[in-house]
Amino acid sequence: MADIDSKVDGRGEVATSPRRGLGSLLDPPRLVGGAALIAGFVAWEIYARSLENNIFFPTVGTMAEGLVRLVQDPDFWGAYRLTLVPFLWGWVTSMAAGVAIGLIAGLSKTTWKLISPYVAFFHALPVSVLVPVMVVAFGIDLLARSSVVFLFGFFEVLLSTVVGIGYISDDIRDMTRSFGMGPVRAFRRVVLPGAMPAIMAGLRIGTGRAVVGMVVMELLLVSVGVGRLIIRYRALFQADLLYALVVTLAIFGLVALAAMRRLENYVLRWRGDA
Amino acid sequence: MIEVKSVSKIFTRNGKSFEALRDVSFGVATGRFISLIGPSGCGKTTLLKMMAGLIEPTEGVIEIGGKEVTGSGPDRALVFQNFVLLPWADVLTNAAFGLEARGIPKKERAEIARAHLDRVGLGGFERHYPHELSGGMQQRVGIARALAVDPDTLLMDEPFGSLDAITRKVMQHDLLRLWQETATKTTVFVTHSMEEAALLADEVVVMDTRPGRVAQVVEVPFPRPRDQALSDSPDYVQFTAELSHNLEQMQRIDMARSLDDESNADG
Repeated sequence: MADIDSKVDGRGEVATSPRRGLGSLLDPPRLVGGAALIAGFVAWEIYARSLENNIFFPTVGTMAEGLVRLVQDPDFWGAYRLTLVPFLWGWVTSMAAGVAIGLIAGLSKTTWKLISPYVAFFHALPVSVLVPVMVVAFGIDLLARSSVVFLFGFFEVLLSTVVGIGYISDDIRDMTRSFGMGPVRAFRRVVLPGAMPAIMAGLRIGTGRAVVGMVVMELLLVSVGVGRLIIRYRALFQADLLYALVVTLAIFGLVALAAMRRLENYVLRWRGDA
Repeated sequence: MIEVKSVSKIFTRNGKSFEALRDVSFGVATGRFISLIGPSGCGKTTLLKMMAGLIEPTEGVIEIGGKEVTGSGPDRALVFQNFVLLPWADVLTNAAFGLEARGIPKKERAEIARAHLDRVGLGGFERHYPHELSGGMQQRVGIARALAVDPDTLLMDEPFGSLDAITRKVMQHDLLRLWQETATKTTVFVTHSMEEAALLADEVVVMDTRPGRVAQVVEVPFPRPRDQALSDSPDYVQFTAELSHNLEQMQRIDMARSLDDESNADG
């Protein structure tokens, strides 16, 4: 809402005008973000042009041309298809299992005590180091590739869900108990909505990690999809296509996160503007 | 009838035990409004939560209507100091929470909750969320939620303790009016304001600290129905002044004692 400044001018009339200033101009985060992005591209362009040899560092223009060529190449879409199948499997299962097991562990202290050492271990460990181990153990089929994505997302979601249930205040627990609400109804009406902010944050961060898992899986485990293209372009010194490909990965990640953010805002719409 | 019979409570935390209540006994006749009052740490909230069935006494029993309290029950409803509304649910859902807990069908509970929201002056706010309401309005929802389940016993834990002075006054008078309209509900009201206790209650149970115990039971001499005019009468002013003085004394003694304890612990 715009602040209204009222002041009395020389003739004694009350003038009202919306307050304008640097603050309100910079207020829309989209504008600021967009400007920062443009500044980054300009810096990139200047640096690339200043190089005598920009084979390994193309200008923004060349990269953009590469992007256009890329999206017209059926190989590109084929590569994404190959990469997205294990991503989707790993992502959906890690989100679902993370919330489900997180809810059980959040409600049952015994379960939590049983699994918490493993959760702590896998959450602290950079999952990438497991990838070579997994190749040895599971090979490189769809299951193995989905598992990498799963491992990246799962523990984040699990932990957030457990924490979310823990954050439900003693007062709310007392209140629920004082009205004698049964456990099933209390789960649906108090526990689940109470933990929902943390669960949604976990799903968003977990999605980001699953995208990282997807790329790591491609680069470290088996290069059949996007990873294979990255390696090919690198080998052929096609820097424009290589950069364009990386940009498509970034766009994919941003779209996935934006979608999760939307979902979060929708599910938590009771928070109002918060 | 609420009977508190030789109730003691010892909390143990990290190997240290703390005696919250020692041998507390008193009774509340059905339909009476009593106020539990005392300095912080006298165990008044603990006692109230025991009546609600949320805390078990270490020794002794609390009987309500001749039956020992072993847990929460549909005969009692609690009003909390920090309102404790569900932030994700609108006002109507919050007010209907107790009815929902009891499995009353949606349409019926909405109807009952709506009627009680009207009584506390929140008609028209059904679709608002708690964060859109002031503290006083949130507590009105808390009171509507408790009254909606039509409890025999109303338990109120410093319900106006976190409100500003003016809102507090307004809420006190609205509760007074509301309670006198429904006059059959036995009510236990925890507070640390003597003025509040004397305005609302038939009887004041004054408690002292370390360990929490009953120091004095005082009958409030003002006839009902009472209204706002009471708080200006000289009798009322004198009555509250006397009791406030007693409470102040207790607090001073308690402070001196805790200073002693500390120097003993140091030495």
